[in-house]
Amino acid sequence: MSSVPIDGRLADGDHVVQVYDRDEDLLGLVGGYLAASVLGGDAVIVMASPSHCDVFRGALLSAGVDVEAAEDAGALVVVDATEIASKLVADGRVDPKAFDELIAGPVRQAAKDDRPVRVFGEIVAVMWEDGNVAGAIELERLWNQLGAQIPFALFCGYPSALVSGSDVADSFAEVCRLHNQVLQTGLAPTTAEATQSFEGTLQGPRLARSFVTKVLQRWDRLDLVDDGAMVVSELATNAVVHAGSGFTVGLSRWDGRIRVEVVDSSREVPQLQEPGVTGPSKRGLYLVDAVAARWGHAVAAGGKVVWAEIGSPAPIVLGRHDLSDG
Amino acid sequence: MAEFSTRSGSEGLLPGDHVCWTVSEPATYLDVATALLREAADFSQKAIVFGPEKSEVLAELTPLAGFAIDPRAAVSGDGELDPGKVFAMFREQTEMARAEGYGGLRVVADMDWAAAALPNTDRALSFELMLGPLAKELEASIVCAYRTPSFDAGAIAAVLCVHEKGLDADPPQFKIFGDGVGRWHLSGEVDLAVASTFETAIARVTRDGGCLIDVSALEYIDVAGMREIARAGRASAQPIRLVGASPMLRRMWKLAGFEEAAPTVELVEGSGAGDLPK
Repeated sequence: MSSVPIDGRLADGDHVVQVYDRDEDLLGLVGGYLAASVLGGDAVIVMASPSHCDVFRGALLSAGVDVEAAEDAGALVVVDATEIASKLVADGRVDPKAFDELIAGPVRQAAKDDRPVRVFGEIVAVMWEDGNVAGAIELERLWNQLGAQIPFALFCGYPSALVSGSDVADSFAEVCRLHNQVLQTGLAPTTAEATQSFEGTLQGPRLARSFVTKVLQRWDRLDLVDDGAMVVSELATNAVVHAGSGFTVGLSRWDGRIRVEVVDSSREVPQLQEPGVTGPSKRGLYLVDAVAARWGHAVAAGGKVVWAEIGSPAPIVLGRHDLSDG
Repeated sequence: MAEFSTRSGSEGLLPGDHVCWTVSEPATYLDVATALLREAADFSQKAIVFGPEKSEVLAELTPLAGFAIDPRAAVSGDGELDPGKVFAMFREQTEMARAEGYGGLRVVADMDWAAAALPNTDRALSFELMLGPLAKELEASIVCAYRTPSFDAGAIAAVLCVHEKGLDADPPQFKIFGDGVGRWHLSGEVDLAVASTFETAIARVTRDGGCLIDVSALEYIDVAGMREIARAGRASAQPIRLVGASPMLRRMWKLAGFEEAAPTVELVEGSGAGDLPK
């Protein structure tokens, strides 16, 4: 039952991909994620292009991080993603030894102190940009394999210009399946399999329940209709009441679970509160939190997305190579 | 014979029925009202019209009816209706009718006067909510005619929810009504669309302490709706029992933390037949 707050703190096992339109968007979001992690005492690894590395260091300084001291102490590791990318690939494929030395090594090192390890990686984007899409996907899988051995959270960034073309749609869909959360700086959740938009009227929650019920029936997940309808109804109610906006519902299937997303046009952060019987409180989220396996929220351009996953994951089999099986 | 939409289909106006009639066609009002009053004899009922004595429409109907009840007799000095007085008038008329050999009353109530004397929807809801069980108790047929020019759509949508049956109206999203023998029936879907009507209705139903609500036909209730029930539970020393509670309702109630927050609210799986509040 983890929740992803809007400042970007993640949990072990998270592998999040952020699709961004402009550099400023990425840097705004990642800067927050990195600062929160460093200031929170996590071990942080940044694998980014040289220009992004500079900007991240600047963002950390502005957030009050003593960057020099953190790097000296090994609490912050900043490395050049383009350099790693060039050394990683041999004959068009990712060299396992190079992966072990250049990527797994630093992560293992950071994990030694029992602090949460938080990584930002652009190597995949660099490879993709170089035209090595297959290599980027392979690298994502290797990251997940590593994630099964060592606990850490990974935040990947892809510029939307790189991944939005129809010619790479299939490949990018595969990339998304290798992540447990896809964020993007745009209102519509493009990776959702089924979406529908609703007006911000009092009828919204009921119409959303009806939509979710239909989709889940179509997907033969009658076992999740009650939970799905409840989750979307509460999230939609919040969108209409607190965001005062129309909203879009997205549904996806991921690893035996169903992910319900509600995108609205307010930046107000959903807070989990105790469900007092008197007084206003967002107790709808309390129930969503109790029912959902995971839930969270993230910034979207002009608003936010609140998501929740229901159902149980497919059982983990030792030796699995990637998250998209099953 | 006029047909009334009920959950089980269409049927005529029967003793004990409390019907909300939304009148959008003024031309049909007289015809339908006349037909309803004429049927009184078939059910051994005394035809009554309920509305301000001198109102135009009632002038046409009064000759057909055995009696006209003027609601203004129940309106206090500040212009607001005293439901208790209205109910007393109905009881009195029922006694008189029975003394004359009738089984009970058949009432067409022209509700235009209510726009002034029941100035807010909450009061109208409260009045109608308690009129239902009275109709059952007196075995009266009461048709409340709400003319759409006199009331806004929101007010009409709200009062529809607290009538057992409707005429010429789409079924409301949820319904709550009393059966006159200690049981309330809550059906349909309770969510944002009907939140304020539900809040008022539940507050009124639970105002006097413990009660029994049959929720076997309740298809959905959101957290805000559950909270209203929990609130009532916390204000009541006696149990509020929800009978016929579905497994989903019981699960959500518990997961949302209401079992602990409102221990006087009991969710019962079965129909709880024979379980009347003391």
